[in-house]
Amino acid sequence: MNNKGFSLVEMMITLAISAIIIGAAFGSYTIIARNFQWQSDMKYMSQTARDVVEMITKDIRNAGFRFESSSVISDPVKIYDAGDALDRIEVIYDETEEPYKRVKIEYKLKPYSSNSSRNRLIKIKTDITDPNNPIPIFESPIADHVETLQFEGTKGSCQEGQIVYGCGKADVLVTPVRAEFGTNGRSTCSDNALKIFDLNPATYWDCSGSEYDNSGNYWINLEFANDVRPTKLVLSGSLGGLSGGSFDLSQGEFTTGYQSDGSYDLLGAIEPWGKNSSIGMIFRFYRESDNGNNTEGDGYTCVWIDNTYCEVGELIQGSGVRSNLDFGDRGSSPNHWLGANVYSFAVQPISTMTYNLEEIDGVHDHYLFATSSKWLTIEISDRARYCDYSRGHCDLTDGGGRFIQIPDMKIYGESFDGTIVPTEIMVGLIVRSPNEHGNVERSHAYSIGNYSFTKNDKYLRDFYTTSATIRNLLYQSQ
Amino acid sequence: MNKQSGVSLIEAMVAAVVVGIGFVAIYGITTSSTRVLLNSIDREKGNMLANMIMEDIIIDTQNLTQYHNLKFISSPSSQTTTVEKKQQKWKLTADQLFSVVQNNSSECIGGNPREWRNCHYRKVEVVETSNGSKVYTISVHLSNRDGRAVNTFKRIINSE
Repeated sequence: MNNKGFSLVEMMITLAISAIIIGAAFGSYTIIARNFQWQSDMKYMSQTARDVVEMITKDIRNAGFRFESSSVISDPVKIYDAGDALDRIEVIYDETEEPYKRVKIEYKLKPYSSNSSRNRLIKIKTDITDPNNPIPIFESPIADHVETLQFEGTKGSCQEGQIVYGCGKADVLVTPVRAEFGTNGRSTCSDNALKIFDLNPATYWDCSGSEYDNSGNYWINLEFANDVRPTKLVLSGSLGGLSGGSFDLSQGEFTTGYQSDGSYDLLGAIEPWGKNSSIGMIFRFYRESDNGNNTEGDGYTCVWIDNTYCEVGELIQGSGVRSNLDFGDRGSSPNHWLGANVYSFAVQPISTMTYNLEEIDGVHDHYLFATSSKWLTIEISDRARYCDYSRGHCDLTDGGGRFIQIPDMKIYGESFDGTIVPTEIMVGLIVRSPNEHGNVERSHAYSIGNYSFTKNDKYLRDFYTTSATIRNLLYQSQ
Repeated sequence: MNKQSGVSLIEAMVAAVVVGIGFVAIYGITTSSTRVLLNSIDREKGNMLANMIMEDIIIDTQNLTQYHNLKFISSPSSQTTTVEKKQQKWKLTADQLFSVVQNNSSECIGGNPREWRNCHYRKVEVVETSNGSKVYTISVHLSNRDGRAVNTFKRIINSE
């Protein structure tokens, strides 16, 4: 046997060489592991951003979508922007038709309770089919480490607060905040005229009995919270207008003329007989009038696509300027009494009547739909009377007294409340890496929308942005 | 009994070098995977920016043809028209998305994109598919942050 073993020198050389090799391997491992961590974080950020942006833009594109039968969404997109990193967006659209479901989607950032610099993106979905009874569907975090969420909504070149055609909220129901009856006669109608706008067809404005006096003119001054360009009027026919009875529409439901006993013959009236109590009224909408009515406000602004009716943007003020639209035009011929004329709503046996103001053509000084103001006056040019159409006659000899009754009314229009409903929305977000990287601090500076982001630390950050056009709102407003 | 001579120093060092080459290769792989990752992030961002640009163009169909051959590398001299405002918006957005440093805003001209360094290529093209069809192809060309590759995003729109 001749086993000599290793000498000390050999051992030391071997150890040194192995140390170098192991050191190199370990060093490489560290570098590769760090690189892997860095790549994972980069990937994490880009994936987060992609998923979030995709989800948010999808919801934004749906904003304002509604089924034909459902009501208008007045605020399809709302952006809450306090100038800080945490913007919030609310989007409303109809999700399903059968059963009908309208939902509100909300995106916002929420800081961790323990670490306020680390934000989670939260998505909240609420069932608002019944706006008075919202039902939460879910509220859940969908992404982590989103440091900044920014939204910026634009609508063409519209500026906030501008009163320009197409920049307001289109076709929304506008309800007056004040409605005051006025007369230069002796009537003392005490019923609150806001009843006309309470959206409850069962209640109507009623001035009768000793309060009503058959003298002078009557009007109701309306004041809205914001400028309104009226586009549509919906009148409820259920002023107790018709109490039973019916009309044969094919016969035209108008009168043939005076009868010897002072009544009118109703061509279309058929059994069962009934009574109508609002015949013969004329409504006129005034902005500012020269006929002595006590109109309020200080003129109105011309708001239209072009200068067809007035000079766009011009503020029209002063007496002698008037813009009116007639409803319930009785005309000189009795033939107009019962609804052959588009302006007339007097006795039509239907539950509601809709007047699209923009479609009413003809006289150019009737351009109410091309003007905007906070004030509107309804002039009642003729009082209501009973029409008892039993036997096919309309007996106008006041079956029991005169009065003014006004049915429920809904005014729709373009509302200029200072905010715009955006059609294009920019989404911007800054995502942070979950882990710190390297030993040196990096500076990050971004400016997104109205927010400037600066930070100095060891985290990685990336910025992502895109924008989405809400096509259904865009084409609606064109 | 055989005589065992052990591993010589030379042999050990050769082995170390071979192993070292292996590490270098692995390191090379991580480097290239980093590059691929950054490229893919650039593409992702480019896609988002191209979407923004196309949405901007689609809602402004009356100026459609003015966007043809529009570059958004430097700020336009004035920002009054809609087109100029958008040009400025796209430039600023692209700068931030691709972390552009101030001196890196020159335009890449000609040559092979693989040889471009420290320059940018950002252009919109709007081409009617056939004369009078009112159907337009919008192309957005965007260079990567290192300026060595150009991603092109296309969409067809009906301007009516």
